Amino acid sequence: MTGETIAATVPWTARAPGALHDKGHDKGHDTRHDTLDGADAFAAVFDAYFGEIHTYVAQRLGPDHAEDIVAETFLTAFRKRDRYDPSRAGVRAWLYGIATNLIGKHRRLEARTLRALGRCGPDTDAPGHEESVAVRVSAQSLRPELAAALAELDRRDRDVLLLVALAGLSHDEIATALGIPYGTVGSRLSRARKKLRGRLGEARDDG
Amino acid sequence: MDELIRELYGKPRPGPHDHARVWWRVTARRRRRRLSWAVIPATAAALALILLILRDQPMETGRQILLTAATSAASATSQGTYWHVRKVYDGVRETELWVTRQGRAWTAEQGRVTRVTGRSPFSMAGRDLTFAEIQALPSDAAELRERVAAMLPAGSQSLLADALGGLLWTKPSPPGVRAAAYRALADLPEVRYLGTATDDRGRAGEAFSFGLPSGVRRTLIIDPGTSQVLSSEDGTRSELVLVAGWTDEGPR
Repeated sequence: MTGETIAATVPWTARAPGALHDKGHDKGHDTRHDTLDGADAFAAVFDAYFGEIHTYVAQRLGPDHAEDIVAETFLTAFRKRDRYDPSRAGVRAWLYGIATNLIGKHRRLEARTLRALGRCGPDTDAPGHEESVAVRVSAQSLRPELAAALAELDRRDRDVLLLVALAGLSHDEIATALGIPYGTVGSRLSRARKKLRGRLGEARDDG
Repeated sequence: MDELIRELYGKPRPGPHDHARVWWRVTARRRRRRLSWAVIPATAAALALILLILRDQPMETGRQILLTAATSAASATSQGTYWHVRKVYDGVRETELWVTRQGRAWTAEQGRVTRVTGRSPFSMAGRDLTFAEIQALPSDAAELRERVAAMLPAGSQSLLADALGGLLWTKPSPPGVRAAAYRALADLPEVRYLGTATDDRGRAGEAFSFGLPSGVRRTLIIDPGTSQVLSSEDGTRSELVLVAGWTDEGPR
């Protein structure tokens, strides 16, 4: 046996979206349903954060490969749930940290995704209201340079930059999520931004 | 700067079924984890071999083949008086089966036709299945998977791939149900694509395998162009499907 409790997995299944209805399961034990055990809490965490974690992974590795990494992210989260300390980081930041570490194992895929993003726009079905036309136009023209510059960054710098830009995490959350000192978050972020600015500046000068 | 980055990446949203599918995968992986340590070395070796073979192929190949088969299945017709199957067991024993839409059934072996009475000629996970029950199965992949999973005996969820696969051959599943079964299989992580293969009669197809509760793996060879299952092999028993379809020609 694995040391992970077998009992814990049953309520998960029963709580799954579109749960399997195991008839033998509903009889008799209803009194236990109001206790929120670890597995039930995990189902709630999955429901709450699946969407944005999937979006984040799809952004970085492309929609075709997101599913594997997202599944792995939540499996890892469940397996390491004992090590999660709610006083140090929110569950959301913790999940982004796990996903980021898994993404780090697919560097070639991320590079390929960035090349694809540089060539043409992603499938944006609904651009946000806050995006002005001007921003979109300049973004279109800078797209290849920006993608190339991101691909050239050190992976650790890119992780921090994207956790700020895409996930909107604070420096504090990033430090805990990635297990790095607070000051390092700031230095990686400014190094990444400086490199991007340099590269985009050149692109603009070239006209 | 951050806005440029967000603009570059866009905001890809998960598809409508992704949430349920990933949840299924996460819980299925945890269920399997508990099953048996004994099969892990063998599984790991098989996986390593497959990874080696598939390393340069797109991960999606097997899935695409199953989705192609689903499309073929959806456009098939189901007209005729009799559902007719002709199979060869273990390369020697040839049997035939005819079933009407009203559920009357006959089998034939070595030229002798016998009327099937008392029980349904179809079953799933050891439980009899009537013609009407098969016709009433959902033609949406997610719904079908749920329905089939609910039909399995308690504790036998590892039969899911086999039960879905069973709907593709030997059972008179309507075209929509067959298409849904292919789509559901395409999304099951335990279904592995093994590459092109030929069956014992030399017919070319695509091989897929999945584990059975007994620990062995069943390999199905399918023809994605016609959506037919050509053969099934599980280490101890092989079945060749020579005919599986609707006909107006009755038992003889």
